[in-house]
Amino acid sequence: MYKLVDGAYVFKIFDQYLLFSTNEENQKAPYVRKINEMAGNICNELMDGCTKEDLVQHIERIYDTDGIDTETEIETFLLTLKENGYIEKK
Amino acid sequence: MIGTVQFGKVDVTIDFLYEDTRNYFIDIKPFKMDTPLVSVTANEIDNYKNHTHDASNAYVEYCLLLQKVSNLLPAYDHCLFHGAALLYKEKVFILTGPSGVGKTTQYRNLKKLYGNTIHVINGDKPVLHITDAKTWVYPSAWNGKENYHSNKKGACGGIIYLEQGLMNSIWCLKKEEAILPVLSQFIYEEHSRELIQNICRMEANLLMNVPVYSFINTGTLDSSELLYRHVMGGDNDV
Repeated sequence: MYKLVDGAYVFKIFDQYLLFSTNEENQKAPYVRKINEMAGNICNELMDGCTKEDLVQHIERIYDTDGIDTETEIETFLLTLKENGYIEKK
Repeated sequence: MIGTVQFGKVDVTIDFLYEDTRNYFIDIKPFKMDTPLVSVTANEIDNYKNHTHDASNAYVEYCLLLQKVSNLLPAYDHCLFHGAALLYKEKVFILTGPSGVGKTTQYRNLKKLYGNTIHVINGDKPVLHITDAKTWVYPSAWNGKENYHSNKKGACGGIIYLEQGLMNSIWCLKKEEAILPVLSQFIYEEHSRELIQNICRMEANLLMNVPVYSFINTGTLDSSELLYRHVMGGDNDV
């Protein structure tokens, strides 16, 4: 199961998803990056924790993913999130 | 030494450790019941002083109170915001942006050009009260190194995000474009989920009722005239 680490949050302002990271040592302000809608939906699911398979199902339910290898896309995104310290595998 | 200080519409009781710290706060009222309480401990002051040299205990307490108050206000739809808040004809314009981009220069230029029609509310960290209909700007005790302040208040008419440049240009940002620049000017030290959620909620309301401008400026009088004419409504005076 993957989950956003403590101190990582996703919030939406208008239709923009923002991913906050507050875990850097001596960090005065959170590091914030804009992410696209699909990434935002994935991060929302990751707040409470979920498996890769849950995410694939969730995304395929919301989006027309015809012709897209959803599993590989999500795997790549999860890897990026993990490398940047946003998620942990439990 | 306990007293109550008003930040916008929120009364906050401060238990001061040092008598001199009270001098940074104008209009301390007697203790008011049922108000949130903030205080700084001697230990927190010692820890802070490890990073700061030559600062008096009172000044350090004043700085630490900024952190505490900034974390408290968002629960009441208020916040401290980085910028110089200027009142012109019943509307408040907030000059914001990273340190050194010319906020104070713009204020001085506007005063030079338009004299007593321009009033400062707070030169560095005004209090905003953000509702879904309007944003109100109030003074705070944290005025910046120039100590520009007054007891005036008013409704926010615009936020101007400054950048230095070789020529002057100003334009209104789309809400989506304004999200990150404006978000970075909210002042808060705690990084809890609840507090950040409150900040995001306030920012959404702020952007709904206040236009945000990007202002690339040279810092000259010409640049301030441009700001006055195109954002502050100065053209209407002619």
